[in-house]
Amino acid sequence: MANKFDLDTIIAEEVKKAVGSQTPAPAGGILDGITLQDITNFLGELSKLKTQMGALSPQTITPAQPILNSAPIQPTAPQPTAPALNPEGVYKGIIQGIDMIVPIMGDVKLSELKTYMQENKDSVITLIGDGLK
Amino acid sequence: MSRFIAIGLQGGGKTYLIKKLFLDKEPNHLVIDPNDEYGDTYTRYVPRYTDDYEKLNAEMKLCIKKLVLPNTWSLEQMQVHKDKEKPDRLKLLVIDEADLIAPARTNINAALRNLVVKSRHLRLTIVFISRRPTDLNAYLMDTADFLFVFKQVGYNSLRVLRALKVDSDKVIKDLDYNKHEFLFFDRERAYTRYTLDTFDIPLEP
Repeated sequence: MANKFDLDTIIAEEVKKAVGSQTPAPAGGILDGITLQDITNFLGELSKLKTQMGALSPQTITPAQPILNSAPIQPTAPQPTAPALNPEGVYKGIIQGIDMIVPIMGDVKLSELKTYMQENKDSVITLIGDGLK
Repeated sequence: MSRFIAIGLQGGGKTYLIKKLFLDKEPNHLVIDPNDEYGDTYTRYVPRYTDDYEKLNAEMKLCIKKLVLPNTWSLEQMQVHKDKEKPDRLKLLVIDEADLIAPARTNINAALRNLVVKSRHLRLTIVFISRRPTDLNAYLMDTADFLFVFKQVGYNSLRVLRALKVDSDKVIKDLDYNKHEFLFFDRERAYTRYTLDTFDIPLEP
């Protein structure tokens, strides 16, 4: 049977060539065995920790006992609370992180991971969102 | 290795003729099939952006670069592999609705022009199919080796065809649509009247 080609065929072929041309990372490296779920869980834990740290930060600095002949210490402006965690932001962070890591590590698995994340953005964001709960 | 143009109204028989004369005889072909109508019998590329000329232009550039050119062989490549077993190469390219890809009164797609220029070198036969000569880029009309012209009735179409050969417009206007009559113009632009069943000139490929 004859073939039918379209734009997706060409793009798929180019992606396959691009991925295939990269040097695979040696087996058993430090990133070997790390899955997307591990990364999202880790980021989720990191975000929770950040939230908790933000909650512990004093909102205002209470002035100490007034010292005579000294100007009163003005209370500092309230510290802005940590911004609400945004799965979209975390997603962008992951992509940026991978962009920074791949040129250094040259680990093909990360670029495959990035491709996977870009192709499955919604489900990845959902995963990150679940990790942030 | 020649360039052909088939012009005719819808239902005139041009697609049938091209299938019979070219596609059915040459398995190493590719059809650019914007209407997705050639079916699974033929190897084809179906463009996505048929309603946006700029995007289609870019898509065709990509198609030529990634799908057509890598599958053709230059004379030098064929010489190098002279005594070796050669893989199948693309020998025939059919571009249907060619006026979508190379419309009149626009700069022709550079990749397509380059392909036309190199077609003989690449041993590639190209067939352009369009409904009206006025829709098709003049560069393709001027550089075609042979033309199949089915019945036309529009004043402007006939005027363009008259430029091929004086008085041919009258004959073209009189062609029988129902009998699928057409004129075959050779390199000298001499023409002969045929039907789908009476055409007997052997063509490459």
